[in-house]
Amino acid sequence: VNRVTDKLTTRNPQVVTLSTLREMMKSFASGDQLDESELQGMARVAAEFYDMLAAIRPELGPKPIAARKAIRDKLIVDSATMMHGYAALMRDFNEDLGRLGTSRARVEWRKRLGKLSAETQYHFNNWSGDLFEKRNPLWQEVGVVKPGRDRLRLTVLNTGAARSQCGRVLRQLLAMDQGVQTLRFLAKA
Amino acid sequence: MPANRESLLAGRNGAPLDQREVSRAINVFLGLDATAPVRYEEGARTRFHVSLEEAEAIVEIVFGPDLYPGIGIVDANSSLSLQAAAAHELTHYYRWHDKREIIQEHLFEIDEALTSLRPYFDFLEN
Repeated sequence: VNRVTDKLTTRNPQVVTLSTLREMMKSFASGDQLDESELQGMARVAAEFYDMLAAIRPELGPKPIAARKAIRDKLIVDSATMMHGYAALMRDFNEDLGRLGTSRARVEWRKRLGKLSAETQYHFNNWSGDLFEKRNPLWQEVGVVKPGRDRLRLTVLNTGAARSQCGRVLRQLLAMDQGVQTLRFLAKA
Repeated sequence: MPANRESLLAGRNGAPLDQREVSRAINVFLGLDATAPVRYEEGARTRFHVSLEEAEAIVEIVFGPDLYPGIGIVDANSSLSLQAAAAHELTHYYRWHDKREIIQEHLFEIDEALTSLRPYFDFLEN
């Protein structure tokens, strides 16, 4: 977490800014007053979930600057917008801890998060590859990515609509049975 | 078997819990102990539960609406907070795990009393 400048540039190897983390946690938590043990529990759930994600997507862990830059150029996996998608999953995980029980929920979610692995190949029209590739046409279809002024580079949008689309896409994808490979169904909001 | 006994007394909350209340309870348990084996069961009475499935012991704290306080403000059992009730159930788990629980049926109230006292040292002192 970048706690100094609260900005991520090509010279920062950090994954998120403190502001993004705060926004993520705000959408994960309710607006209610939280007492100490509940707050501690929420922090543990969030940290555990992030660790599970980073085990599937190592790009969410610490990386040297050059590697971080390469990740940001090619993928949206560590973008601020996608962090809000992860926050939506975090809420579902928190609900499943109660519904399935803590032990079963952990096993189930480790399995479910496997769908986000770089090894899982998805298809959309003529494209195929890693879900989080910027070039994945799905992200343009749902308004998360758009071509820059030069029409060559792709830019990640960090708007409210793009954030909620990230949450919707990830939740819908993880709710599907194992073995889903085409992403076309996720283009419909 | 004490490990399967309901220990929260009458007067607790009876209204069904919404998702927010279930998540809140889970977070309180995990805030007290990150490894707590907890599960919500709609309409169930809260209890620490051990069962055998194919020779494997399934150990869990099952909670229901009665984990939350009731409306009796002068009744200590009714007004026991969510945190205190969660700590009490966790203590059942620890006492079972450490083989410290008293399993004689006629001493179960002593076991409950010890289970209520222990959280003071484990959770509230810090």
